[in-house]
Amino acid sequence: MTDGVAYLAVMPCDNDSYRGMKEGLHHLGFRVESVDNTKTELEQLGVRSPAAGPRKIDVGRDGPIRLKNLQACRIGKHQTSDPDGILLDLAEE
Amino acid sequence: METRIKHVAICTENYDRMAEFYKTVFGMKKITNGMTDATGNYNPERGHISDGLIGYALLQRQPGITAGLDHFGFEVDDVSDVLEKLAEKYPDILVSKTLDYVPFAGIRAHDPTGNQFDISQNQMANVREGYKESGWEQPRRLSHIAMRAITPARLAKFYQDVFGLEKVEKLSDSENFI
Repeated sequence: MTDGVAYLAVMPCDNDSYRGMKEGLHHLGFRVESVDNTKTELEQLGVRSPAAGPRKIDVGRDGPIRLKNLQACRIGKHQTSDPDGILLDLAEE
Repeated sequence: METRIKHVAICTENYDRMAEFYKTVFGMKKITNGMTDATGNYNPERGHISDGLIGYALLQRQPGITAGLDHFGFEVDDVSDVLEKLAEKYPDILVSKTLDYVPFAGIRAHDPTGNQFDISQNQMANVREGYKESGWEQPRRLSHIAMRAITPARLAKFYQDVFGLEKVEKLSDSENFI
């Protein structure tokens, strides 16, 4: 759904993991001028200061499912996170 | 009715680190002055940040509060219209007046799955600082807020009924992504 500028997306819960059954806010998406440039900046930020960069999503037993659920968003093209682990995705439009 | 997604809030124990991340990577700028910090005191160094369209509140996580995405907010041109729709179609939804020091919104409510949202109208008395201004354009900005629901169609209908959000045909179907 859209307000004409931004989207509000509703994705389905699943029972692939305990977390997957939980309803609620899931992730935020950003439009960027270049996904490749933003990915590079995020990688460099993580190297310069690991605590200030994105956290890896695909870690732990649930990691692959967590990543798969984020990839299910039809708007985002690249999946990442902020330093707190808030899930983010990026797209160029 | 005009509706705009204008606000997102995250509860964090790392305000400085998070604010720096969003400023550095996404070009956000501070638009309000002063927020509660870990001591519980008003800290003038903190504030909401923005991408020019949508304000971002990095709220101090206090005991008993879960870290992570907390709520989001709409600006509408007529709050009374939203409240009438809620009362008429979703009478079980709780509606609360927001705290006076909150700079964005006057009303807080929730959807049928419990996600909380603020409702703001530009003329409301407590809308202040950057939230009163027209904002700016920048190349990187928040494009979407995603939520999960056991029955996505039912939840989507709530936002369509109450806020007039429109389904995006090229992205949506009736079950897996609305």
